[in-house]
This record gives sequence, structure tokens and C-alpha cells, in this order.
Amino acid sequence: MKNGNVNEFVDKLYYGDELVFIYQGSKYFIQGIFEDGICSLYVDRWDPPSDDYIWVGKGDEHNYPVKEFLDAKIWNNKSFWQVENEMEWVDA
Amino acid sequence: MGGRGTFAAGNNVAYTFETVDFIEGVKVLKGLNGKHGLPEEAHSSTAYITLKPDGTFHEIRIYGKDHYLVKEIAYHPEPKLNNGNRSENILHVHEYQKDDFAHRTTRDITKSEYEEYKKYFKGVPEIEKW
Repeated sequence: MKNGNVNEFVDKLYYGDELVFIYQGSKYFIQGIFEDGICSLYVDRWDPPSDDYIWVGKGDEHNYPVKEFLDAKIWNNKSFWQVENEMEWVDA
Repeated sequence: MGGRGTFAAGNNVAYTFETVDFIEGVKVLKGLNGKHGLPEEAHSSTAYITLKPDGTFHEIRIYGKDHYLVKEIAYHPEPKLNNGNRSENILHVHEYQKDDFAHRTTRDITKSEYEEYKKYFKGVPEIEKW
């Protein structure tokens, strides 16, 4: 993870914090939202804007699906841990 | 309960964020050494602001009497609240529970919230219709 600590990045996922990062020239956004009694993670692409969420995961009442996100092969068929060194954490 | 750990042990905000500006008396913070976002707790202020790279308002975090984050007003695409629109920034609100920070909800900003906080929304077009 460029411009930040990857462990801190992942730690923030457990709280549903808003995170913005750049991967291969595109800007992505991830956040957690508690809705309908469930903690859900939403991955979006802001620039260029995607047509739909890149990935959505449902956790449970108290936990966001962090492991599912980390394992999801949504980055050119690779997982977060396989490409995190190519990602740049940015403020907005 | 409540505390996230990183900031709970002491007021180390000064070492992880720097104050780069003030808007109507509220500190505009920028992370240092790879820190991002805004603190989860505030011991010396009731609110902090962060801006986008172009200087436009991005987010204000509002803290309660016990210093915990209770609400943030953000300005970025939120397709859930804007008919799936992913290119237009909109003002919206996230609320937190101090005994479970994971319970983070999202909703539209109310007119009264807008009127109360709009002085901080630097560069955000004024909402004229409700």
C-alpha cells in the first residue's frame, strides 16, 4: 500500500470507514454501511465512474465482511493482498 | 466500549494530523505520515474538517460531549441516495453509535442540518430546492 500502512487500511475496514484509493489509474471508494440490521461493505469506482458497485459484501449485525473483501478476486482476478502494493491510499 | 484504540490512549491528534486551515473556527486537518481521514475521537475540538485535493469541502466530523464521533457530513458520490449516480457529489450524513462504531448509517442531509453547517461547506454549490 503506497502512501499509507496496509494494516491500518484493513483495520479501518472493520469499522466501515470510508477509504479512497487508486489502483491502476482508477479511483476506488470503499465504505461500510449498517442497514437493515446488517453491516455491509460497498466497493465503488469513482473515476471513471462504474455502472454499479464493484463488489458488495454482507456481514452480520456487528461485523463487516472484511475477510470476504480481502479474499474477493475483483482486482484483475486477484485478491486485495495480491495487489495491495500497487494501491495508493489517498484522502479523497 | 466506544474507543477505537488508536486515539483512545491519549490525545495524539497533533502528531498524526496537522491543522492546515480554519473554516469558521473549525480546524481543517490533513493527515501526516500516511494518515488519512479524520480522527475517531476529538479531545480539544467539537468538529474537524477535511478538504478534497482541489480545496473543496469533503467531510466534517462532529464529536459529542464525551469526545466520541457522533456524526459526519460528507460530500462525495453516494449512489444509494442519488438514484445510482456515481459522478455527482452530494451532501449526506453518516451517524455513529458510541458503543458500536460499526453501526454506521447513511441518509440524506436535512434542511436544518444544512442550514446549521453550510458555513463549513467550502466550494459546495448551494442547495436551493428541498
